Amino acid sequence: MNHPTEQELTLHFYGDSGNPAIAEHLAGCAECRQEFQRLSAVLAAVTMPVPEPVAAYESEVWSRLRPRLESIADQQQAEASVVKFPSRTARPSIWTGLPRWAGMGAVAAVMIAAFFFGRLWERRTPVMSGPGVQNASTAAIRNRVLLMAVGEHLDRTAAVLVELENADPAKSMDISWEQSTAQQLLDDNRLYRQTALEVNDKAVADVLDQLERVLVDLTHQPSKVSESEFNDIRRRLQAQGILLKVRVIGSQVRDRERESRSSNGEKQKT
Amino acid sequence: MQMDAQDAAAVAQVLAGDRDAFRLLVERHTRSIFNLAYRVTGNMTDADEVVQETFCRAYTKLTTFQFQSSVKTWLCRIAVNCALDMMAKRKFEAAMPRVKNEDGTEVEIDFASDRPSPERLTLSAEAQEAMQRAIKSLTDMERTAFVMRHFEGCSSEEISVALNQSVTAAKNTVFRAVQKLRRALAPYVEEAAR
Repeated sequence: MNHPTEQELTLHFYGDSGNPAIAEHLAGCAECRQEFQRLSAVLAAVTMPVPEPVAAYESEVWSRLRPRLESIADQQQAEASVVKFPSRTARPSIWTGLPRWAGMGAVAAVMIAAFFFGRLWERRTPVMSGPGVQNASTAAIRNRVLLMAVGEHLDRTAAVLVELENADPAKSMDISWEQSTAQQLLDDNRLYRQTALEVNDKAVADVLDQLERVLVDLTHQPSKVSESEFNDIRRRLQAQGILLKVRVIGSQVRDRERESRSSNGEKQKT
Repeated sequence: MQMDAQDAAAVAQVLAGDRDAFRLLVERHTRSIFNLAYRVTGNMTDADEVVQETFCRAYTKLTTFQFQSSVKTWLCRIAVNCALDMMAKRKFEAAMPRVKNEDGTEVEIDFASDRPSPERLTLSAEAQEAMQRAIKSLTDMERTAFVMRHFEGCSSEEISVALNQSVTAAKNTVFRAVQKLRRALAPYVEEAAR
């Protein structure tokens, strides 16, 4: 084989080259062997020491974690319940005291879990559903959970788009944070779009579909872009008016979620 | 990677309603998650928060756990995402990570301020500074991929899943980190070897 590249030697160092010819080549080529030894020496010198946590760290983590897990479980049960649905404004959030990023991610996860729990529950309990009452309640919860989750998702997406819209591009720009966030949003977006289609919410599904293309476009850019490349990205975003659409549909989704919640409250009173 | 029997049993118990069975997972995996989180975030406060958040997310998503993979790998993937979220948040807050002293004043955390291990002592102080600069010069994704590869022994496939990249992109990310570290450290390592 030809002399292995630096990348192939790196993969070989980590036992991940998947190419036995490299080892054979190194055995017979003094030049490459020396290069590999130089690479190995550098990598062996790289250390990032970690301070030792306290001896009972695991117990301490558990004691702080347990109340949070209980809250999560209670929240999941409450959201999966057909009797009562929690109000975001009236009920104190279990995420109070947590950082915003943790709250948003976990709320989205709870929403998804509750949503799919609802679907699973509906499939598994057809006999208990009675004369359409139970199914109607489950469908209402499902729609409301979707609306809440999509509302949060659109808020987070709008925040990233605003960052891009307002950025002041220098000669080159590092957009790796925006890309990493877009990648996370993309995964959620696919799930929500698919769900919106399943519940025949075409307006939401259409915007999520367009948003998905925007997010994919963003994640496929290099992490460092020149000023002109960045301006191209921004022009494409502006041409599609995606931020405005996200805000409009986000506002509509929140209105619908509020209506759905209040109508559920009315039904329970009667 | 094979599913550990104890982990599998604990997951099954939690899914069956025994919330306290989750404690076994916490006890078995806290340290490795903390080590990973510390290396990625660079300070203890953030690493501790990542540990907490990782277990919360894991608990929330436990029903989605695929029993074919190992719990450790799964938790590692969640921890990496928590750590990346944390670093994105920190980017907004300040140019450098800060934590509070006991008296409430903020202090700057620096990788170079950690007590050096015996291995690090083999390099000169100047070389160690060069290493810290090189580590800081890595992007969040590069540092995370490198930590997963170099310290956690994760495969390219595992890194790609954790970072939502293709396997090729994950390999490239690790390689870019290695190149940067190598450029910064090679002169010192060669000098030490003479």
